[in-house]
Amino acid sequence: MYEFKVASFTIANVYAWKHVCVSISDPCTATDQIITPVDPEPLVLEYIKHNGVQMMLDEDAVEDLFQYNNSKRCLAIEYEIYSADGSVIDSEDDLFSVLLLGQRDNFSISLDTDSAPQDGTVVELSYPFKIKAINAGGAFGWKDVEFKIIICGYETLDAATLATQDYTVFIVNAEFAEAENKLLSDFYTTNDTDCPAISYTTLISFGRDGEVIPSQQQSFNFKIYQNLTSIYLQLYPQTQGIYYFFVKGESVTNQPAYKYFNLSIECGEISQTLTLVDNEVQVLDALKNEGRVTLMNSQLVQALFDREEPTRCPIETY
Amino acid sequence: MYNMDEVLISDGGNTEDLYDRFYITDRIEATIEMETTFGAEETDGTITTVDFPFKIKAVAEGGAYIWKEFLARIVVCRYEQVTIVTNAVYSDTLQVRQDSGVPYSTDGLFASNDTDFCPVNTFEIVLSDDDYENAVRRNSA
Repeated sequence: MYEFKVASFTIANVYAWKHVCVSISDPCTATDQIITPVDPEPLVLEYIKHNGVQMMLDEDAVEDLFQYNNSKRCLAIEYEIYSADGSVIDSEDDLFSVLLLGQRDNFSISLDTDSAPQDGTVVELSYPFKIKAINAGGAFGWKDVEFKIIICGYETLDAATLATQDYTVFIVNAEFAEAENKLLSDFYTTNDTDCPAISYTTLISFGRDGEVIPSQQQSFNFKIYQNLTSIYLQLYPQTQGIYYFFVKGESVTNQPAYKYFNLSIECGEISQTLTLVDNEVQVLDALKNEGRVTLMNSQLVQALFDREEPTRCPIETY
Repeated sequence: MYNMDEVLISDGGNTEDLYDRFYITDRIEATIEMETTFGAEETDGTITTVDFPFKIKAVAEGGAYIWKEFLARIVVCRYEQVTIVTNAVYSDTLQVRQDSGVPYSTDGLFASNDTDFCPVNTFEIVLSDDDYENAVRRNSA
């Protein structure tokens, strides 16, 4: 740096000074500067969905992401954005639109948080990318950045109705056995359609003492069943009884809602098959005029009949 | 629980006769009871048994059911004893080609200890005093 003054005179020797500073430096080159991120770890910034365009990094913030081996000269003059693998972002790429690269006219970086509807399985949308800081000589450095749009985490789930859901089902023989499936999504509501209940658990109780899951025997009668497209409460009556239980519905971020069920399992007409020990007509002789006589006592009558399912639905009238 | 309606006549219906005779109103569990009293005027000496066919419908909880057929019988005649009134041998001499037969009455020859229900009501002539099965009949060689 050179400083000097230049004096200017009139013929009358009137003068004035001009203070001049002259800085002489070498031009920047690609090798005389090393640009590195201040923090080598990726910068992660997130924002809640559906809040329009948000400036995530202003120009100063972008500049502050980088450091130099010589901070007095040849600093970055341009900050370009590339995909996470360092490739150029095509206009068809999601990043191009979500980072509004087509409208970028300075070095700040914005995020369009108005995400598309989701299927309930997405907690957040991640947009990783790189910022390339470049100086006048062509030296450059990279900084990994990840913007996230938070999709789920603030939703509230509820049971669609507070009333207990009652079902009465009848035990059937194996040849007629067919499970009843109840679509579980029908039982729950959410205040965020992006984040409905997507997983379900049967519980006997829940609360301060924790969750109590059904016993194996109980689970034979009701359980969660999932096919390729949907999740159901499957009722497959095996054992007589009344079963009270909850189904806990949860969103992808485990926001819960509880639905109370009352399942009554009863014997139906096809729950039991009765057979005769002997198909012949049972002949009972009694001599005349003996008054009231017992032709066959109760135990013997009962012994004339068999049940195919001995553990359930007993014969109760003869 | 034992439902009186589950004892039904053989075609599945219900009749007052069976209802009373089987004591349906005070039936105990699955027991089958029957009133066996039977009036002499209800038989003419030719009836061995009086039949009361009926069904029992066993019903399982839930409604599964099956029918069992029964035949209750009041034995009217089987245990009566028939005896001859006297051991005297009847003897008579008849002429060949007599114009008309000489009737002998069977009245008083035999007695039954169950006169009301099971009197002697059929007779057969045999030509020997062997046991009944082997006795010589008139048409025998």
